[in-house]
Amino acid sequence: MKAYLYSLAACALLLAWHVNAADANTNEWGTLTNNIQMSISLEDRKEEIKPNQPVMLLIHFRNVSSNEIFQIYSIDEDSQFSFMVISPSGKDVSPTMKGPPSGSGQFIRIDPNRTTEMEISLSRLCKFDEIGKYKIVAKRWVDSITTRKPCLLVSNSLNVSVIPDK
Amino acid sequence: MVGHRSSRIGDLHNRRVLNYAGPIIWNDDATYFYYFAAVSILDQDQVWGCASCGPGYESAWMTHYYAKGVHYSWPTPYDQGDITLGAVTHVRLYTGGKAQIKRQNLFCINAWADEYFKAPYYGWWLTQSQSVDKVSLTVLGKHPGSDGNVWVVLPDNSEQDITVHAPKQHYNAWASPTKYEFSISANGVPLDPSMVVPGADFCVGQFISFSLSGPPDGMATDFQWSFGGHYFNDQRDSVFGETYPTCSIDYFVNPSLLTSNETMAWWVSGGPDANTPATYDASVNFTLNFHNGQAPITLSEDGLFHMYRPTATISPVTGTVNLEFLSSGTFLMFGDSFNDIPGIKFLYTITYPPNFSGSTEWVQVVLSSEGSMQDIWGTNHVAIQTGSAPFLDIIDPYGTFDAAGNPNDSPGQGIGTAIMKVDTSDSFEMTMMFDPPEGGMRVPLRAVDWSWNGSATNSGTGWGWGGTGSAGADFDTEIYSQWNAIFSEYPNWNPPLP
Repeated sequence: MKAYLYSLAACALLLAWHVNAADANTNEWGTLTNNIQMSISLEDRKEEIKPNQPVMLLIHFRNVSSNEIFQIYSIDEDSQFSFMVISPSGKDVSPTMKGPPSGSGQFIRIDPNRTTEMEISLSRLCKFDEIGKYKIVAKRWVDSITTRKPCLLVSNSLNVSVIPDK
Repeated sequence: MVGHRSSRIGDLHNRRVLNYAGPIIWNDDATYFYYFAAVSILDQDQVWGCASCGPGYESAWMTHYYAKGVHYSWPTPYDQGDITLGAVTHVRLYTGGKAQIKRQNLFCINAWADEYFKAPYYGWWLTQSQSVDKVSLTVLGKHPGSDGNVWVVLPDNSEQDITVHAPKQHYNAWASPTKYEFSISANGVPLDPSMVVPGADFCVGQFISFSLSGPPDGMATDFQWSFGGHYFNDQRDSVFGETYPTCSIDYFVNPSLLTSNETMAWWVSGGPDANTPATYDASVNFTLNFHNGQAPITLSEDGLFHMYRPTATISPVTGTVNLEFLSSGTFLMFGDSFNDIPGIKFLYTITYPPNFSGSTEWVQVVLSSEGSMQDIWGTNHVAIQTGSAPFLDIIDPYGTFDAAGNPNDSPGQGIGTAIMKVDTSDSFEMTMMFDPPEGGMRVPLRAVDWSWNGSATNSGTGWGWGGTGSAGADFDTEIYSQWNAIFSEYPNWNPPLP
C-alpha cells in the first residue's frame, strides 16, 4: 500500500529560522551594511548541480549589532529578493521583477547577534540549463524596527557550476 | 463431540452383552473446543491373529458400527451355525465455542465406511470388507464428496448427529470432524467479535492491515470487507491531469481493495476525546469453495477494535489591518510588522491518546481571494488567479510559525506604483492535521475558517486605510483540505497594472 501512497513533501519552501550567529553554515558574506549582512549558498555547501536540478538556495542574514532588530515582511516564495544571475556564456539571465505580491505573509525577525536562515527554491528563479559556471548575487531590502530605517543588503557572489548529467 | 451407540448383537448359540464405555474426549478444554465420543463402545470381534503368533499374525478386529437384517448360516457338517446380527451406532458432535457466543464455524467431517461380507467359516474369522463408495454415504443429511469430506457450517454450542449412514446392511464406519475457526487480525492482533481484545487499540491515521485467518488454503474467495467508522484506503489526485501538490489528494474508499483476503485502511474518525476510543467493527464476507464438488458456502467473520483520536483545540487570535511603508514596498496588510503582531495567530492544544504519539501539521487553503486596484488614471484593475478556488496557500504543510510553534499569518497586498486605491478580501481555512510517527497517514483534526479585508485610498494628500479580520470558532473535521490549484502571490491583473 505504501508504494502507491504519495509523499506529502512540500512543493517548495520558504522557511525561516534563527540560529546563533556563529552557527551559520556559511563562510561567504556580503557587505556589512548598518550592522547586518547577507550570505547565499547552496544547501549542503554544494558548488555543482546538474542541469535543471531542483536545488535550494540558503540565505543567511547576520545581525551583528547588540540591540538593533531587523525585519523582513515576506509574502511571496521568493521573498521579494532581487537576483542577478549571469550565465556561463556571460548572458544576464536574472529573473524579472514581478508586480506587487499579495497573499499570506510573515514577519521574519533578525534579532541582535543572531543569524536567520531562509531557504528558497533556486530552480524557481531561472533555468540553469547551460553547462558551466553561473554567478548569482542576491539583493534584499530589510527594515530596522529599532531605527525604522531601510537597509539594502547585497549578498556574496555565489558561483554555481552546472555539470553535464552523465 | 460425543457419540452415542446402542448396539444389539445376537448370536443364536452364544449371546453376548456389550460393555458400556465413553464418552471418549479428544480435547482437554471441553468448554471451548469441540469434542465427540461414543457412549457405548463399538462392539468388536477378532478376525485374525493371536497375541503370540508373531509378525504377520498380529490380532485384527472388526467393528460392528451398523448391522441390520444380517443373518448368516454355515450349514456344512464341519462348520455349522447361524448368526443374526443387529447394531446401531449414533455419534454426536458438540461444536464447542465460548458460552453465549453464537458464532458459526466451519467443520470438515471426513466419513468412511467399510462393508462387511459373510465370513468363510462360522463366526467372524477371516471376514472380508470393502470400502463403501464415499459419495453414497450420508452425514448430517449430506453426501460427502469423493474424498469423503462433508463441509458444513455449524453454530457454536450445539449438538449435531454425525452418524455415518451407508447403503449397506453391515458395516464399520466413522466420521472424523475438523473444526476451522476463523479470525480477523488487525496488524497481527486477532480480533474478537464480541469484545475488544487487549492490543486491538489503534489511532487515527495509523495504517491497519486486516487479514482473515482460518480458511483452508486456497478455498476462500469473493472476499468483501466492510468497516465501521470513517476510513479511507486509497488516494488519487483531485484534479484530472494535475498532480499533487498542484492539486490536493482525494482520499477515498476503493471498493476493489476490499476484495482480497488482506486489506489495509486508515481512519479519520475515532473516539470523542483522546482517552475514549470509538469501537468499530471489521467484517468480511467470503465464499468457501470445495474441491470435492460440494456446493460453495458463504460465511462472514467479525471483529471489534478501538480507534483513538487526539483531542485538539484551535484558538485564533486576530490582529489589525494596517498600511505599512516598508523598504520593499507599500503593503496593505493584516498584521503589524513593526510590533511583530501577526494578522492571525492560531493558538492550539493537542492531547494525544494514551500510548500514542505523533506530531501536528497544518494546511491552509485560500477559499476565496478578491483584489482590485485603481490607478491614478481611474482605471480599475482586478486580480485574477490561475485556476479555480480553493487554492493551496503556497506550500503543504503550512510553514509559518512563531517561536512558540503556533502557526500564524499576516496576509497583505503589495501596492504598485501609480495606484490610488486598493481593495482586497481573502478568506481561508486552516486545518490542523495529526501526523502519526510512522506507518500512517496524516489525518485532519480541527479547522478554523477566517478572513480579512482591507481598503486603502490615496486622497492626494496621503493614504487612508481601513479593514478588519475575523475568525470563526474552531470545529472538528474529518475532511482533508481540498484545492484545485496553488495560490499565486503574483496574480494576473486585468487590465495589467501600470
